[in-house]
Amino acid sequence: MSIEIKDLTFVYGARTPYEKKALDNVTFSVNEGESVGLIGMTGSGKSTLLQHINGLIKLKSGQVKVFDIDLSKRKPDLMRLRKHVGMLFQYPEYQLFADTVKADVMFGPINFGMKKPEAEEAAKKAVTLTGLDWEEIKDRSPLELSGGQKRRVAIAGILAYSPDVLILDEPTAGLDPAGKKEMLDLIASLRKTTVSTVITVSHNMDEIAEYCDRVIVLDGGKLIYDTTPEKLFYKEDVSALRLHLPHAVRIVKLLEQKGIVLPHDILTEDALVNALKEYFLKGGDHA
Amino acid sequence: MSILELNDLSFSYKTDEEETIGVKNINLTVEKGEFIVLLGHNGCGKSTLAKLLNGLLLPDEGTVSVDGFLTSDESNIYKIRSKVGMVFQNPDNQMVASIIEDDVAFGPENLGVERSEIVKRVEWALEAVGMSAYRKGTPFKLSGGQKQRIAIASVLAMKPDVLILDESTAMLDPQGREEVLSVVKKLNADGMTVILITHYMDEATDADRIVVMNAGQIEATGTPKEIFSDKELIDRCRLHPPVCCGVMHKLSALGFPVEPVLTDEEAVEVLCRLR
Amino acid sequence: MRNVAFGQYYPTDSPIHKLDPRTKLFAGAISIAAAFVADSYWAYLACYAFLFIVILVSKIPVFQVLKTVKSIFAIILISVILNVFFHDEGKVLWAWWKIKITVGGLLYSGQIILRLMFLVLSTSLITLTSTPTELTDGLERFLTPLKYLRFPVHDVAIIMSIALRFIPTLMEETDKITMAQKARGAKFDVGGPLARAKALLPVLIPLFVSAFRRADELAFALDARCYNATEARTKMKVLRFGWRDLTATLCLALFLTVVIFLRLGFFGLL
Repeated sequence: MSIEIKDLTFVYGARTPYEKKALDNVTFSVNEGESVGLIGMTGSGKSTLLQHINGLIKLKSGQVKVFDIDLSKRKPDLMRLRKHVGMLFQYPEYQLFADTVKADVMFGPINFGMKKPEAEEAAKKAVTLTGLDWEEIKDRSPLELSGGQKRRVAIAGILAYSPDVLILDEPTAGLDPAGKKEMLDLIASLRKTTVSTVITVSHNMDEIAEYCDRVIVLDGGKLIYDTTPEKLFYKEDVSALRLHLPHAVRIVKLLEQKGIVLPHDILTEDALVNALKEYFLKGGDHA
Repeated sequence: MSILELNDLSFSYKTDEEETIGVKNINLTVEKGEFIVLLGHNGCGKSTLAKLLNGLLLPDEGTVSVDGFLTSDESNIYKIRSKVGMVFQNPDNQMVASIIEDDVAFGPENLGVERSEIVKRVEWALEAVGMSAYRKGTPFKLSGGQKQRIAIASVLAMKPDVLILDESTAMLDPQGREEVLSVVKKLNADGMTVILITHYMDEATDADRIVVMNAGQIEATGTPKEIFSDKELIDRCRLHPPVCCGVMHKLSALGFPVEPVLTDEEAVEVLCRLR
Repeated sequence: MRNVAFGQYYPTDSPIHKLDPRTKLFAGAISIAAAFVADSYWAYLACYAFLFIVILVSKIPVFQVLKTVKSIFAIILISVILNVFFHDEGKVLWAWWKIKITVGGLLYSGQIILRLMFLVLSTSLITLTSTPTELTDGLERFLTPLKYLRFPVHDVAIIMSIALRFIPTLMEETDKITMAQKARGAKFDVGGPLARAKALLPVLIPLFVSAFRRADELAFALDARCYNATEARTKMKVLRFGWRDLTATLCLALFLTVVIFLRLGFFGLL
């Protein structure tokens, strides 16, 4: 078990006029190799939850255990925790600070105790993994890169210390459609080669449906669903949560009302096209 | 007379070492009341074009005329900026005051509008974006969508003829995007000319016209249906059309007799006819 | 995300909140004057009694106001240490080399504490009861006569307003960047002063880059909203000096008079 969370509750600004319960009795665990989508409206507690998993916020009530590091114990080893769990914040390009890409990507590995030559080797490997050309980019200032390149460098800065879990907070925010697609493909390929366990926060249900095999839904600080995308979008009534359905699912549901019944595991455009092809080639009256 | 007329417009960014093309040879006319969506990948010149429309940037070549006034004539500049209101991407970087009504009043105050009239405009503008209840509040506790609605109100208070939204929905969550879009559509229905710059293709399906930019130039203009059914254009300009359009493209490539659609509902209708 | 309170503003519906910001700025000046005029424990009793009444009227919880003293704790401590050891007056209680603790020194230190605390509490009360906009507005009006000396009063007011407006935003951003760097293993609390200062660079550099980016976008936003369009700029909010302000001003005058009389020994207390 990679991450175990039990009865986690957190209140901001307790006993002030601004008091707000951000997390309310949240319990779940993440296994190795899972790709979990974390969804919920802004203010539902997602960020607070992620910060707990990285030991960036002091645990007040409940249990958070990441591998063998138990945050409810006294003086947990936060450095080891953070090396295990790589966290990519929203708009991560805004955290780049060093004067070269090389130095920036080496920041993490050195913090976690690697020697310089070793860190440089790790940086090179990480930058290459993100699809950038190490020799071409290593001595350039992060500030002069394009938006998409900056984000790749930021991801490389995390991959460089080989975390076992990757947490991504809206990794595609602010990118154009082509940039979004590239980013998602990059994450999918990283899952196969480098980090198998990924938790992604996204507001885009099409992305969640396509790239996650499990979804956790937060609402008002409470965990209300922990299920597969198929079940969430086909079985549960998510309209009350103001969640959108993935477009493919929406089309399947509309077709069903008109009598065209397709299987309830269609989540993506391609799956929908294939199902439609099959349906119509077979004559259209059996599904 | 058209509200916006762009003739052979070119602009490039110059530094000591190099010159990068912002936009090149743009010709475009926008009529009063139109809803135009400007599409194109990052760096294609959309934002540059937007800033040329209200004189934040001035053309190197060609002209921009707003309701008959040229942006290149310095004496027109404030008239033009009050006619062409602009909302930017980051809601946090366009608010001046810490109290919402003060922020909305900033534009008309700058223009020297009379006090009683400012009060009326602030009331009206906040009403128009559905934020009257927050009038005396501060923007810090608001959601992104609410902040952008305030930004729209701040622009409305100058009584513009044209509203430009320069990727104003890019940093918002789906709920915030919906809030902003419904406000914009309502304003357009009441006669406001709207130019919406966005990466979200589903925001473009309701446009009167889509303008597609690529490498600083206008690649195509047309109705949403015309644009989204042009597979070659979509690939060339790296647009990603809504899922329903994609499904139709792929079915059509497989030899099914389908026609271009813009919404999931239309797609379903077309598919039902295939039975 | 840390809970970023809005400046210090503590919204309640009290007569103090409704005062004209100019009155409150004037009150600030009066309290500073009173703090320096006061030279006896009787005078400080008067000061704190007045302050306490104002806090009650403002409907702000007392502890909320008292919390603001925390920020100058170090300054209080240093000045008390200096005065306890070096103020040589009256009976000597303890002495070593040139350092003496005297009765006079202790009494004087007590007054220093009371003075510093009064200064902080009374000025905090202003920021707790007024929004930043109100304060900049008030200040702009106060400075208006300087316009005739070609001093850019309005620009200064806008700069202040924008600065105040961006403090919470930048604080939030500092928080985010700090967390992002911590996640990458940054440590901010180890090593000597130099190492610690250096450890802040990964936060400070992105923060500056972002501040410049924001400034750039803000400049466009100001221009787009016709900043500097005309000399004849108007104001939506006209500050009104009302009966509340008159009452407040009279109370303040009375308060200062009492403190001055105490100093002059009018009441025969000293």
